[in-house]
Amino acid sequence: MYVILAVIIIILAMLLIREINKRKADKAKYEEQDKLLTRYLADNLDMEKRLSDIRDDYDKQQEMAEEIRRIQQQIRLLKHDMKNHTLVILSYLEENKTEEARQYAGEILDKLNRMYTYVNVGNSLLSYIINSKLSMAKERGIEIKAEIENLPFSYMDSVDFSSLLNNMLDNAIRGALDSEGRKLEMNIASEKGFDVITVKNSIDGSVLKDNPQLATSKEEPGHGYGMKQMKAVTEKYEGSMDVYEKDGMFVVSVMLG
Amino acid sequence: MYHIVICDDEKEILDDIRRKVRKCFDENEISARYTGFDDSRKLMECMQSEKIDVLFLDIDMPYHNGMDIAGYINEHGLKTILIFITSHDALVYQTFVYRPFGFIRKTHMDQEIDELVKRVHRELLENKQEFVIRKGQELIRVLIKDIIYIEAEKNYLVLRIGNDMIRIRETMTNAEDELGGKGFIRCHKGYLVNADYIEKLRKSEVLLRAGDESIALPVGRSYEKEVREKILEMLRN
Repeated sequence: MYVILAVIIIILAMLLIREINKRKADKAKYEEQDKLLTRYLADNLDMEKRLSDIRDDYDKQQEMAEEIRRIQQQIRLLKHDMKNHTLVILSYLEENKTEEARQYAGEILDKLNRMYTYVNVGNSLLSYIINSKLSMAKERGIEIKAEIENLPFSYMDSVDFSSLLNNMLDNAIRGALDSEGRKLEMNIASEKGFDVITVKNSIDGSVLKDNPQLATSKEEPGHGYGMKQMKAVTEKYEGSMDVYEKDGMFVVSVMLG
Repeated sequence: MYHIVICDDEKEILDDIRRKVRKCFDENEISARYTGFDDSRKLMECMQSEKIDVLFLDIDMPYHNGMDIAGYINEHGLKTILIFITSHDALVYQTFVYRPFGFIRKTHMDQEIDELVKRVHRELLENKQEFVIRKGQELIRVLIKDIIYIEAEKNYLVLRIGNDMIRIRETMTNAEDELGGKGFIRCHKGYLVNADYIEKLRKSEVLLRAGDESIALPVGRSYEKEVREKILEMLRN
C-alpha cells in the first residue's frame, strides 16, 4: 500500500519537475522571441525612416531636375534669339557692311541692358517668355496691356507650355503689326478652377471672315502653323480653345487644367 | 442710385478721374452719387459704413494699397465692383484675393474709362435682372443673380436662393430656355447652375461657392463637354 503511494508521489514529483523545467524552457523561448520581435520592430522602423528619407531625396531631386529643365528651356530660347542676331550680323559682314554690323551689335547690347521687365512671377519660364515677347512687341511700337496671375502650370511640360505661349504671342504680335491700332492685350488668370490664357490683338477688319479656318497661306507661313501647334498642345492637355473677334480685336483664349 | 467712389492719393489725378468717370456715367444715363478720397484711410472708413457699388482705386497708395483694399472687399463679402487705376502696362497678381473687374492705365485714361464704364453699366443692369415665378396665386420676383442653382423634382423645380429653397411648378426646359442666355449652365438632367457661383469644375461634379458654403452638384456625362465650352464662352465678356 505504502509502496504504491510512494510510487505515485515519486511519479507526481517527477511530473512536477518536468513541468517546471518545461515552463522554464518556454519562458526562455518566449523571452528570446520577444527580443527578436523587438529587434524586428526596431529594424522595421529604421527601414521605414530610411525609405522616407530616400523618398524625400527623390522628390527633391525631381524638383531640381524640373528646375534644370526649365533653365535649359530658357537657355534654348535665348540661344535661338542669339542665333538670329548672329545671323543678322554675319549677313552684314558678308556684305562688308561693318558699320551696320557694329550698329546692330550695339543695339542688341542696348536691348539686353534695358530689357524691360514686365512681370516677375514665380514661374520663371512664364516670366521669361512674357518679358522677352512683350519687350520685343513694345520695341516694335505695339501698345501692351497685360494682367497676369502667377500660375504654376506645373501639369504642363515646359516645352509644350513655351510652345503654346510663344505661338500665341507671336501670332498676336504679327497681327497687331499688321493693324492700324497696334494693340496687344494679354490675360492669364484662374477661372472656375481652370487656367485661362487669353491673348488679343487689334485688327482692321475681320480675319475670320476671310479665312475661317485660319489655314496657312502660302505667302505667309507661320500664322496657321502656329495655330496648329497651339491646338495640338491644347488637345494634349485636354483643354479647350476659343477663337473669336470682338470690338476690333482678334482673340485666342485657351482653357487648361 | 449708385454710389461710385474714386480713390487716388494724387489730388489732381483724382479730380481728373472723377470728372471723366462722371461724364461717362452721365452719358450712359446712370444716376449716381460720387465720392472722392485722396487718402486710403478715409476710403477704409467709408467702406465700413457705406455701400459702394463701383470703386475706382489707385493701386499704389500710402497706408492701404490696392491689394489691401481688394482683400478687405473679399473678406467682408462686399459686392463692390473694383477697378484698379495704375501707371503700369502690366499687372501681376500673386493670387487674386479679389478679382478686379478691370484696370485703367493712367496713360490711356480717356479711352479706357469709356470702355470700362460701358462694361460696368452692362454688369449693373445684369445684376438687376429678375426672374418672375408663380407660387400658387402670387407672382414672386427674384433677382437672377441670387439664384444659386435650380433642381428638378418630378413636376417641380426647386430654386436655391441664399439659404432658401423655393418650390415652383415649372419644367426644366422652360427654365433653361429663359436662363440659359443669362449665365446659367445645364450640368445635369436635373440641375441648372448659375455660373457665377461655380468655383471649380471637375469631371463628374461641379463645386459651387455660396458665401461660406460649398455645394457639390453632379455633372452628367453627356453634359461635361458642353459645360466646359459654355464656361469658356462666358469668358468672352
